[in-house]
Order: sequence, then C-alpha cells, then structure tokens
Amino acid sequence: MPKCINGHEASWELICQKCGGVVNYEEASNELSVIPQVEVKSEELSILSVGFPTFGAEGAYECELLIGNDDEQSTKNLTLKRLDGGTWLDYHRSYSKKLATWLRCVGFNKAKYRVMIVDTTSLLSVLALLSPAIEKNTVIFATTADGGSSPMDQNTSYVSVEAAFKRGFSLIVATNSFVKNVACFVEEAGLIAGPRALGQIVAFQMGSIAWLSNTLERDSRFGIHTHSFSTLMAASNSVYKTMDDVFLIQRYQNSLGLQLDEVVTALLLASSQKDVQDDLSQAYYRHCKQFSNLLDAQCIFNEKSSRYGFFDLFFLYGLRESRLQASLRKGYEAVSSNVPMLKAGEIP
Amino acid sequence: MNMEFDLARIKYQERTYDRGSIRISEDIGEAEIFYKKKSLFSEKTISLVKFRYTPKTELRVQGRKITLNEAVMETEDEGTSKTIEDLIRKPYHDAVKLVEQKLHEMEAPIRSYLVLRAKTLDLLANFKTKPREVTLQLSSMDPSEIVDPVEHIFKTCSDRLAQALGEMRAEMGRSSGMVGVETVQKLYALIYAIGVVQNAIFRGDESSEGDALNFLSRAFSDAPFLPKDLVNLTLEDTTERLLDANFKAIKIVSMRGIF
Repeated sequence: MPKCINGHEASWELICQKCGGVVNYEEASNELSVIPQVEVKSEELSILSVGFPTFGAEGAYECELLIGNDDEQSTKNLTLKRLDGGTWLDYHRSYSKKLATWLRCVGFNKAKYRVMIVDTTSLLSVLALLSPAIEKNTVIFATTADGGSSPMDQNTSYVSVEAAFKRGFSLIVATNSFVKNVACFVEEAGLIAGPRALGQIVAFQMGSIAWLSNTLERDSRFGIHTHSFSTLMAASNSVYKTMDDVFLIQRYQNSLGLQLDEVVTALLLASSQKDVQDDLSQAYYRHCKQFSNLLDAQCIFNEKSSRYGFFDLFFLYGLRESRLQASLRKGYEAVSSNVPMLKAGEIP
Repeated sequence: MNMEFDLARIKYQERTYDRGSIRISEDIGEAEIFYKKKSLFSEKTISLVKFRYTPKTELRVQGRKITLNEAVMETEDEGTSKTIEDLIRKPYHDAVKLVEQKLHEMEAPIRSYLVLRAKTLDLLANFKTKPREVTLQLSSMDPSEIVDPVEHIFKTCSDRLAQALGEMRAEMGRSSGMVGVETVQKLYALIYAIGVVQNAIFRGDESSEGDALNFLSRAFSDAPFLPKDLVNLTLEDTTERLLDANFKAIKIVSMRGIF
C-alpha cells in the first residue's frame, strides 16, 4: 500500500489527501518485486512405465521411458537415443542426469503415491531403478528374466534387482514367462492376455494404492523386500464351486511360483459385491493357515457393482527370502565373467 | 557570441522609447535592451534593462512585436523578430530535447521491466495449468541440472525481475536530476499502477484492476482504459497498451511542468 512522505496510507493518489505530502510510489513499487505464489496441484498417483506401455490408469499421471532413434521429451514420455551396442551400464552412464532432470520436471515425485512398472530385462531398467529422482517409497512392479531367458537378459535383470534392493525398494515381482501367459477376464471388455493383462492387474490395484503402499512400507521394515502375487479377475461363484476352490487355484497361479513356507505376510485386495465379502474373507483366512511362517495377513474389500456378480482378487505375498537372484545367477555370471564391466558391483 | 538587433520601438515600465537595440550574448544567456537618447549634439545608447534568459523566460512573438518579460519591443521586420525568438528560445529547445531524450532513455528500462514482469506472470499462469509443459520448456533452455523445478522457475523469474528492476531504478536515478523529481514520482506511480493491474489480472481481481485503471486515467491519460478493454489481450499486450497511452501523457505533462 503506497504511503505519503509523512506515512499516511494513500492509495491511488499522487498527493496525500490528509497532509498534502507526495505519495511515495517509488517505495511502493518494491511490492512488485514479489512474485505471486502459484500452487500446483498434482495427481495423487504417478506411474512410470519402463519397458511396458502405459495402461491408462484413471486419474493418475502416467509416463513412459523409451529408447528411440532420437532424444525426445514430452510430458508423457522421455525417449533416449539408442546407443549402438549399448548395455544397461552405457544407458545408465549416459542418461542418468537427463532422466533425473526429466522426472523432476514432470513432477513424478509430487504425487502422494508413486508406482514404477519395470521390465528388468530392459536396458533402461538399471537407469530407472538407480535414478535419484525416484524416491524410496515408490511401489515397484518388476518383471524379471527367468531360467528360459538369454544370459544377457538374465544379467540385466539380475543387476536391476540388485540395484533395486540396494536402493531399498520393495519389489512386487513376476517373471516374464508369467507375464507372457497371464490372462484375465474383464467385465464388459472380455479376455485380455500378456502385458495388457498385467496392465489390467496393476490398474486394479491402483484403487487400493494406499493399502498397497502401506503394506510394502511395513514389510520393508520387517526386512521383506520381495513380493509375489496372483490374481483372479471377474471371478464368479458359478465358476468356482466353493470360495476355498478360488484360493486353492491361486496357489498355482503365483507370479514367482509359490512355496508355502516362504510366505511371511499376505494381503488380499478384493473388489466384490457386499454379499460375498464374508465368504471371501473367511476362505482367505483359511487359505492363509497353510503358510507356516506367516506373520500377518490382511484383507481389504472395495465394494463394486457387477451385473453378473463378478469379483476381483489380488493376492500379495511377502517372501522371507528372495529366490530371485538365485534363479538369474547362472546367466548373470555367464555374461559378467566374460565382460567384468557388467557385474552388479559396477553399479554406483 | 554577441548579436545586436535594432529595435523600432520599446515599451518598458510604462515608458515608450522610439529607437533602441537588443544585444543577445548567447554564451552566457543574457539579453540587454538599450534605447537611444538624442540630445542636441549627439545620440547616446543607454542600457534600459539586462537579464538572463532561461527556458522559463516568458517570450511571445507576434509579427514584429516581441514581448520579453516586461519589455515590449518592435523590430524593423518580422525576420528580425524571428531571429531574436530563435536565439532566446534556444536554451528552451535544447532543454526540451535533453528532457525528451532522458525520458526516452528512462522509458526503455521501465518498459523492459514491466514487459518482463508481464511475461513472468503469463508464464506463471501457464505454469498453474500446465506445470509439466512449462518446466520442461524451461529445462530445455537451461542446461544446468534442475533439482526442484518449481523452485527453479521461481528463482529464475525472481532473479531476472530483480535484475530488470535494478537496471530500471539505476536509470531513473541517473535521469532524475534532468527530468525533475516530480516526473520521476509520476513514473513510479505509473509503474506501480501497471504492476497492480498485472497482479489483478493474474489473480482475477477485477476490483483492484478497476481501481488501478481508474487511477491511471485520472492521473495521466485522457483516454481511460476500462477492464473490458483489456479482456482479450495477453498480459504483455495489456502492459504495452497501458505504457504507450500513459507514458505519452506523462511526457506531455512533464514538459509543461518543467518549463
């Protein structure tokens, strides 16, 4: 507010009406040097896809890291120029700063919940998992190489998993062969399979991201960093004879292959009509009794309407010991013994 | 250099003299009026009045008649009157040129600051709706690693504005002696009012916008702007229009005020 030379507030006058003194606009113009603050609202959830296409999660900010013929950036994706003959190490060394700057510019970490879906055989996976712009409490869905993958893929996958653990991330893991064979039925959409089905499974969990994030954070404190999962989408009582059958089948559809004694925590995210929730809940806790080392089991229900009475289930299992690295070690060592630079120890 | 011109008639302090002359000393800005006193055997030239002329000296010329302060003179012809007028008006014309030049020099940093401010607010308005586009656009112009883009944007904008404000203030300070304190105060009032219009448009505060525009029209411009006149303009264009209209008015008023 401008004041006259005698200190009277005098807006929009050249001469003060009270004392006739000159109004000091020179001093008042200091107010102009203050830039108005701008509040930017961010989405509650942001999702980065590496080696997978984005899947159109409603209300979330989705972005994608890609390799292409030229460097390109937009708000939705960052394309990094292909490095001829490049390995995960070359991409990490060349683009670490660029990725961090881009992620900060698009405000990936501004969202309350953050998810990364990463194919750990992708040459960009190590780069993404080691990026300082990805904060520790990000939910990571990682697909990994398996016994049938090439040694090079196993090497990249092994180093990515090591990098993730080194950063303190908790992983929800599926093997690439699981992703290849996974299929689910979506009400009103039909049957989908492969990576699209994985996208659908991830999208389903985004409705309960707070629970998922909370469970992973708690498990992380228990020293549990590896999780496997199984899902059943658009299930119906008319297909499964009993609810126990629903859970029995899940034993054989696990993303890492389930061993009962390795499960230490369990979480069920369910979306169903209210009338089946009690049956589902009881069957779930009966199912959990078979895990001899279980420390905690929880189930979260979201009510949904379904024309056919379908329900969707996502089971998350926290595993005491990770068999992941062991399954990839052979291929990893086959490469790293020939090219010492591609050892996990090379990651900064 | 001294120049002397014959006068056919002089009227000074209620007395009239038939013949005389005016001597103008350009170097020191002095004019001296003489009259001829005839005696029986000789004619003497006697000094009637001597004064320094300045840009504020009152001078009126109508044909052969010249009114200079309290003295009214008549020359032999209109050409002589014109020459005398030009000589006495020269300091005025020189001062006008100088002040005009100074105002012009002051206008550039003022415009530069206010337009930069408008662009900054436009950028922030854009940032509110498209934060990712804006930060990416800025990051592509800035090779340094950005840790916090929002902070980076505000710091970059603040630094640029502070620099432009500093340059503007420095130029205002340098020129204030030449254009007068009153004009500088008016210029600051103009800057402040345009700044308030910018903030008001940015915030959608029609009341403040109306108050500031009303002040501008009362204080400077004969052609007032209403908020509706600025509706379809960008903030940058609004600033340019307000500057054009009001700076011109300040120039005119300043000339009148100074001389």
